[in-house]
Amino acid sequence: MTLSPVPEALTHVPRRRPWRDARRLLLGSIEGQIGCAILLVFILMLAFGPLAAPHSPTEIGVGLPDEGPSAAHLLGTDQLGRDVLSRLLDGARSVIGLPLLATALAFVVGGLTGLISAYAGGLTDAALGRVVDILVALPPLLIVLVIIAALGSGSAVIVISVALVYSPRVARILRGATQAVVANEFVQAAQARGERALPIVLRELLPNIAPTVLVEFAVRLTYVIIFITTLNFLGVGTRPPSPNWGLMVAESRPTVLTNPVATIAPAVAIGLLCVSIGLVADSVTQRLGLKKESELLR
Amino acid sequence: MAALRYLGTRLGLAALTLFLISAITFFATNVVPSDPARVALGKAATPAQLESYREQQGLNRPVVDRYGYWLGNFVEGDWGTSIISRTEVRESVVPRMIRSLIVAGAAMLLAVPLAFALGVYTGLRSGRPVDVGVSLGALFINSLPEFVVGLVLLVLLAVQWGVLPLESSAAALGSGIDEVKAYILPVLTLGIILTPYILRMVRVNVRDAADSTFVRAAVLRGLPRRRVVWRHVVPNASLPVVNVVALSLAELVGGVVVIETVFGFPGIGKLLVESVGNKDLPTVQAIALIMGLGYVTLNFVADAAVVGLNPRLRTRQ
Repeated sequence: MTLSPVPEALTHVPRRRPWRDARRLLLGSIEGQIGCAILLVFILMLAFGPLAAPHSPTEIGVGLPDEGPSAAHLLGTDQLGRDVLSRLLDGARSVIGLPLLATALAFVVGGLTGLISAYAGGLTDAALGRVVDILVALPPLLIVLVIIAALGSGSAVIVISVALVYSPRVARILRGATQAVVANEFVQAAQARGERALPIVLRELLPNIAPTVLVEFAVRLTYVIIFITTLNFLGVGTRPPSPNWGLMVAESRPTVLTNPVATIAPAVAIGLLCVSIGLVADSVTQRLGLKKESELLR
Repeated sequence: MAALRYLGTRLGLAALTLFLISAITFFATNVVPSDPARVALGKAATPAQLESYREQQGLNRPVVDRYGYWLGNFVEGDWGTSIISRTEVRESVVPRMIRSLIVAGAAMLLAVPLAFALGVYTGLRSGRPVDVGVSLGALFINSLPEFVVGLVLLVLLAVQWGVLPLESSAAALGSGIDEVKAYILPVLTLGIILTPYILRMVRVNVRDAADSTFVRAAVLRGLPRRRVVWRHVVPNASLPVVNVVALSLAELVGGVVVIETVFGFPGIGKLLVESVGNKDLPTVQAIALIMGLGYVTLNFVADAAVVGLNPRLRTRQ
């Protein structure tokens, strides 16, 4: 028996052009361009901020306390005479570090739950769905504050509690995305080859929902940055003298009348960071024609 | 029947949520600290004192018993004594709770009509500059942390123009016009934070309803535009909005905590943050339960409103 030749349409694989695709996705709209430009500044701050800082971020009394902007201190000094610009440049790391860890953890826990739930279907799916529904209904800030009251505000407590609060939300969205691809024939093919559940979930399903996962990660990261910065602002997160931006806002709040720049500068930095990630995620979402499902589920 | 069954499910979910909040609060604050007696009495306490405290507080009994006892006490109005101020928790929480409820309620009363008006206006002008502008503005506010929005308003209205107080302690201590002024910035900020959520939902619904066949039919029948908008588009766009208002309640709970801290407003949220910082566990427990109860109740009210407004759920299937 001879095999008939495979039609060309089935063997032709379009050449992959990841750089061009990425550029189109990120810079294809004005929103994306603005967002990427601001993000680039933040990435430079992450890499070179501490080197570029004119003073030590924690040294007290490099200038007079609560001075306005001047040539020596471009953003003035705070209530302890520390250089605001140096603290701002140095603080980028502490603003992004913990949220990145917490979001990653939420995606491992919640993502796996969502994928497995959609793959398993049936009773497992229904049961996990119920649990997720109930957990999503818990008000996040209240739960995290109670946990911090009991266990203290160490980095590990914050990362784990925030990840736990956000993982049901991630689970819900990735379950929805997976359900759309789980009925495909390549899943049945893998099952027929005798592959086990976890490899199918990770190697067959996950790559097919990768765009949703990436957009979701960006959006979720923004919310987690806002959340953890808020904890710092409330004074129940990172301890002084850390140059964390949320903490900087809180520390300079009592003297906002005499020295508003020390409060406004870190607040604007946080705002710009969050808005830029939001813009990029929004632009990618529109380009890919994805539905932004997390919009109402902060 | 369908409506009753739906409401029953939602009531069950509400009860379960409240149970979870209370259980998390109890286990986090009573079980996890290795020795609650040591936390309460401090490092100087003698072993005999610790033992008598454990006996008195029932700490030697099984965990489930202690949970029931704790919850029972709370329901009966015994909310414990603050570790910091040594006064009844209830005395400090109740007046603050009332002030917080006023702030939250007023913010909702500000946000819902504002979001509705903007949403209907832009939804009917989909894709035009005004629509794009308002949408971008909503995205912008939604991307900002609550305390940043509050600080911007604070710097503008209190520092630059000096028309409002720098902090809101007058809500408890002041009287007359000072007391009223103390509420303005917190309410305004919370209202502005809540608006984008509701606005987006109204806008999308109005846009979809305006594109639908029944609206086109109404237009073709020659009905005046005003009548089409208010009798056909808006009622159909209103229903999902109640759902969004319910969803934004979790945001409201978090928002109250943050905004009260920004403005130094003497409410339940600021007290919660202070108590977390001071490790004043009895106060934290009481506020967590009160906030959980308020949140779950409002959620259920919103669910009931959805049933009341949705003819498909009202009738038997």
